[in-house]
Parts: sequence; C-alpha cells; structure tokens
Amino acid sequence: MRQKFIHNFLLERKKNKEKRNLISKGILIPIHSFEEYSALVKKAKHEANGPLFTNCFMMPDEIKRLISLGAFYQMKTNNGLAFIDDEGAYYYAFFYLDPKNTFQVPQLDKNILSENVYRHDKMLPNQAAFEEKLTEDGFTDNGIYYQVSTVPQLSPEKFWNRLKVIEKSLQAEGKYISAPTNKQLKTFEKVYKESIDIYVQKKYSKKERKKQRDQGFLSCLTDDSGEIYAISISAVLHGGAIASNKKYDANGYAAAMAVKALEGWYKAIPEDESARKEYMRCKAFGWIKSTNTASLRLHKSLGYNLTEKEMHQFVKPGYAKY
Amino acid sequence: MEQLYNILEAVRPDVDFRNTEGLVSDSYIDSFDIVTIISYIENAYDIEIPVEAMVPENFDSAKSIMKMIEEAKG
Repeated sequence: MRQKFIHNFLLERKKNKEKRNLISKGILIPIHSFEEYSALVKKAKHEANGPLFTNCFMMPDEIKRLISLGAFYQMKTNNGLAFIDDEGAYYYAFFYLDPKNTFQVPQLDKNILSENVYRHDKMLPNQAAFEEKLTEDGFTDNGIYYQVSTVPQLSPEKFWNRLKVIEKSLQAEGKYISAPTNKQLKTFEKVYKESIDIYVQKKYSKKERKKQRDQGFLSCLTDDSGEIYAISISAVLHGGAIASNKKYDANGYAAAMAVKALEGWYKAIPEDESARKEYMRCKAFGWIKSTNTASLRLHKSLGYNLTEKEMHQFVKPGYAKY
Repeated sequence: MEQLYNILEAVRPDVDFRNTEGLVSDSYIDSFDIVTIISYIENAYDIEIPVEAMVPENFDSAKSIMKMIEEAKG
C-alpha cells in the first residue's frame, strides 16, 4: 500500500515535471481566463483567410471550469489555434484551423485525444479534411462511438419483471445500491478509471465528485462490507457510465446496475398522456464504442435507441513511458 | 427568419424549431448541434459568432438565435 502510494506520488511528480518542461519551451501556454481564450480565438478568426473549422464542442462554462482547475492550455501549432485540457491520463485537444493547409502539433508527454462528431453518413467536407489532416500529423484512428439515448423504451411491465428477478438475486447476495460514502469515493474512482475507456473518462476533483454524489448522480452496488461491486454515473455527467469492479466482471453486476438505475425513472412515469410524452423525450445522451458489443446488446435489450450522431476518436501517441 | 429555420432544420430535422422554446434548457439540442449551427450561420450570414456568445440562452429559441445573428451583423 505504502509502496503504491510512493509510486503514484513519484509518477505524478514526473508528469508535472514534464508538463513544466513543455511550458518552459513554449509548447504549452497556460490559459488563465476565459477572456484570454476568447481573445485568442477572435484574433485567429480575424487573421484567417476564410472561415476556420473547429471541433470544439465545449460550452463556455466547461472551458471556464477547466481554466479554474488549472488544466487548460494553448498548444503550439503551425495552423490556426490548438487548445488542450489535461485529463490526467491524456490530453484532450480541440482546434480552430484551416483544414486546407498543413497541420502539425507537437508530440507531448502524454497521448493527445481529439474527436470529430457528425451525423451518420453526413460528414461535411471540412470535417473529412480535418480527419485527413489529423492522420497526416500522426494521429491514429481510435475508433467510433455511437450516441445513444438515455430514455429506455422497454415497456413498464417488462421492466418491472426484469427488476424483480435482479432484486431477488442481489438480495440473496446481501447486496444493495446506494450513493457512495466519503470513504467509498476513492474506490469508486478506482473502479471508474480501471473500467471505463480511458478516452471517455472525465477528470473531476474530489470536491466535484462529492458534489455529484450529493446531487444524486453517483451510485454503487455495495454490501455491508463496504466493497464496491459496480458503479453508475448519471448520463447528465458527460453521458454517464456504468461499470463493474474488475474483480467481479463475470457476475453481471454492471447489467444489474443498468436495470436498477432505471427504477426511479419508471416509477415516475406520469399517467397523463401529454405529460408522459414530455417525460419520455430524451434529454441526455451517452456514448458506446462501436466495438463494445456487450454494451450495445445490453442497451438494445433495455430499449435504448441509437441517435444519428457518431463520434470519431483520434489519438497522437505521447513520448513519455509512464 | 425562414433562412434560419432552413438551417436549423437541416441540422436537426427532428426538432420543431418553429414552435419550440427551451431548445437548450429543455435539451432539444446539445453542444454538438450548437457548434454545427454556428458553422452554418457564420457561412450563411457572413458573420462571426464570438466564443463568449456560445451560451445556452442565445440558442434557446430560433428567435434568440436570430437576435444573436442581428447583433453579430452590427
């Protein structure tokens, strides 16, 4: 335990040293305010010879959040503007650039992830040009994610039957679902990091996680020992997540969480038809990797629909061997 | 206004932009849609939408989007 703590401490120190090195070389420039970011984008747009393409899907509030965490940087590039946020295990990058011109970003210590979102079979020419430029610059294709609605279409009758079976099974094992305690939050985060695709993970501070827990966005499958068997994060948080603790992968606990998580939703379906229609309208979405057949199957069985959107991920390898 | 409706309906044909308020606050459109909408309206109206204007209240209805366009035209 102590050895692991020291290892993690030294690893973080090494990562921070590398980042300071990149900053001292001018490859990364910390952004201190939204006004600074906004001014850079405005300048780039004015200096451009035509409209700039962007794959920035963040709203100002999200960018302000990243700036407040000290995790937001401008990255040196030869075309337009590049920004990254430090997600801990990787950097997330978005660009404002002219996809007709050459494009080069520096290699950083950690992998760089960039994404392109479009409707199925309706990729715009500048989006296609952007993806071409990414691959020319050494980004590799990391696969496609499908956007999925978070409103199930399973009939209430079928849902309640399924839930009854699951509850009997969990009860027999002495397990139940609850919000993670303060003590459990560390294990919660560990399960999240070990189970969820690294490039879908979002980094939150301990304070933010506690707030999410208090807002009812976090759940875990646990028992009186305090062990966490599976976790669930609400879809309102960047599409949410459901995962088993790796130790208990084969037990189907993630699937049980996915069903149990819907209990409150099904209980609250209004009687009134027009209220029910609004209630059943999807207001949050998740993402499932196109190769994650188990998850696609689970979601399909619960009646979740795929939307028309897909997200294409690209990754540029980092140079550090962490 | 008709030009704007055409743009919005091209981005999200499943949303009734002519009769719906709360496009963002009631989650009819998301940030991906907003970025696409901005790209189309910047081209169509030959304007620039500053990043600070990418706030939910500016995209909550076709009317508020049009107001933002008029302000960008100057």
